[in-house]
Amino acid sequence: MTMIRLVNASVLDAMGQQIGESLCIEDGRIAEAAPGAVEVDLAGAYVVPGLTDLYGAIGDVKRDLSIAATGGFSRVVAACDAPQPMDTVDSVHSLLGRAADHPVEVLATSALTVGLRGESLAEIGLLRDAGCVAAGQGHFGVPSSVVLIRAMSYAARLGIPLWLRGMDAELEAEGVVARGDRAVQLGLPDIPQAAEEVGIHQIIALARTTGAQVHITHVWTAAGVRAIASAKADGLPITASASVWNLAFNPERSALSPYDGRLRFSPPIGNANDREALVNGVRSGVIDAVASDHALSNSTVLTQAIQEAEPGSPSRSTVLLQLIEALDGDVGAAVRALCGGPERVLGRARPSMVKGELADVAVVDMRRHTLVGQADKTMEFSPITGVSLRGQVRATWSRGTLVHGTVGSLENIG
Amino acid sequence: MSVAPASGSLVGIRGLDRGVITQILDRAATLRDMARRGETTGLLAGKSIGLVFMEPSTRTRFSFEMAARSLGAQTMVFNAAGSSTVKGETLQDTVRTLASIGLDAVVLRHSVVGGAHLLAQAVKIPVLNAGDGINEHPTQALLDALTLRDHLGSLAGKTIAVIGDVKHSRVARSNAYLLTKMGCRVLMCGPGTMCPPQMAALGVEVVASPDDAVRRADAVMMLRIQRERLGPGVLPSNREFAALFGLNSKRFSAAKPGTLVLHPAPMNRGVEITDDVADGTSSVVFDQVANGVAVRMACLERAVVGTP
Repeated sequence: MTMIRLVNASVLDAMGQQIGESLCIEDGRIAEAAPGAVEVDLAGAYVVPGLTDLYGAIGDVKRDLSIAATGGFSRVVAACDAPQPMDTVDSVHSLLGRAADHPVEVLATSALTVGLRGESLAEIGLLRDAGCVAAGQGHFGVPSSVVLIRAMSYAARLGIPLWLRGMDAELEAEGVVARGDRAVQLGLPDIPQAAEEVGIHQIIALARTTGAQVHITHVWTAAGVRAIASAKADGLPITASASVWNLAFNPERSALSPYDGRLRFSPPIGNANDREALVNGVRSGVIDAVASDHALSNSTVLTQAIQEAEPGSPSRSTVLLQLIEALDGDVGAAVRALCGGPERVLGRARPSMVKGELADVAVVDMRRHTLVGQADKTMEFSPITGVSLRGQVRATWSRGTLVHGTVGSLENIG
Repeated sequence: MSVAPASGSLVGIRGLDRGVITQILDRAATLRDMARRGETTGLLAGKSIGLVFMEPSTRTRFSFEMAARSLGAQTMVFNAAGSSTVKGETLQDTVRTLASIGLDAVVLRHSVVGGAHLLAQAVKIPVLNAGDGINEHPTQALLDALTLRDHLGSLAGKTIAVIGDVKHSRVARSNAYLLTKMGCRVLMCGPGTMCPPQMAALGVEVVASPDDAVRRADAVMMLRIQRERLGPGVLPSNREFAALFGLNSKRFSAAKPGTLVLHPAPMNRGVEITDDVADGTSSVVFDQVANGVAVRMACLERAVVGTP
């Protein structure tokens, strides 16, 4: 029986509040301090609850969950749209079956419509029974208002939460970057911010009339944040989230050519005021959660043009550090957006810091730096490869198992 | 990480400084005179230029080909437009094709924005952009500038009006960059769907009234309306465009004496410009075509052996 006692630490809860300076883990469970514990001096590092990634692709389950662990995640919600539409019971069983033995927990979400085409409803009731925690459209929309209102009515009766992106499909069209001076100057087809404003207002209006439980994903504009804040202030029980890229990445500071395919994101990265509104939204809680929106890197050639590239980037190993940087070093706010926030969206908290429970814990050392792409080779296809991010996830326990790092390495922390 | 294009590349006007633009224009004027005397044929003797056109082009391709031959270079034309490769050929495929052929320079037209920029990063030879999507068409802006300079003297302090489908025009974008760098005031005008207020980000003044633009201009550059490429709701009809924004003799009669008329061609006569204006004494449309060869000679020479 081994008990380790992490001391000289800043222990945070799921809402990012400091709750202590030490934590004991005994045989994978949170324990009361007792004589004989091996003390590990963390020299001021943060001990935080294991993080939950609200959406991102899962391809090779073993590899992707290992990468998630290096990013401090102990729970990952698989996106309903990548790599394939999650629109059959078999596809859900297959994913959850492959992930069953891994200590990092995997939750599934289902496609709302068959093939994510936005036309006919997928069997969301059966998909819920197969284990899906919500139904959504991933990066896709439901172009028809009629289909959307029916989907909401249907889901409301079954109590299935809908995760929807607010984006007018026709206004999004062929655009690749956000509307603004940069798009004009680079000659790139743009997407007006109003595309999101229209889409979010549509979802809010239909949610009001149907009573559907809605979570708005991939928020990317200042207008979108305002619309959500206003709906919440009116008492509508909605939640919202953003991809880490939309609030933490500034393409104008990238060393890449502005036409490089690695700079393609969906939704596009907004302008400075959009990013600032998202950051403020996370701080204020209007944006409940931040997700990795992790994309699988399938490109092997780095000359793909932004107009031709598939959107998205790997990010699960760096999302916490990217978010901390965007929040000017506010580790607590980042933890809330990646732990307490996602738990609220999911409606299921994990008692991660409670004595007797299995340890879901990450150790985050803000005195070290992480060179992106060095440990996680999939990040080579990210626009931030080669960038040094402040902070390092030194260890992650998930459901009682140490899935990243070693206790020995924690001893020379700092 | 970004890799700098080979020296002599011309991927866009946006990254050029005034000195380089002036150097190219000066050399184009010199080469134009030398070509008339038959003195240019040895300048690129033994060199090979690849002309890769992944989008339809007749004028620009002929002009580059004439320029290369006038300098004594061989040309290898890869004209994919119209063949089955157009739709399926990604920029990556193009890069792979070109990386190992052994050309001295490549001229690329591609439908993808940034195509020439990315090709220039991927190959070691100079790349000349002959049009990348709606982004830039740098040699067109250079030939327009040479034409303006021939007729107006210096460009600095002049007012140039660009009228038509500015938003979807690589000609307009390259001209906006070039003319503002050379000290011109650039007025842009067109229907709200073709010239939205956001175009001011190019450093130009967006003007609502074409009459106002024409009155203030030292030169009026009309852009081609490509109705077949416009989506629904962009323009009610050619007739309405002609009436509200087209350049006709009545509208042009308000221009200052000596105001020039330019058009990148091919012209839709009766739509953006009427016959009497296109063929009138103020029109320098065919000077533009002739200057295209001279400017492209200067750009090819700069790419392959450097400007003397």
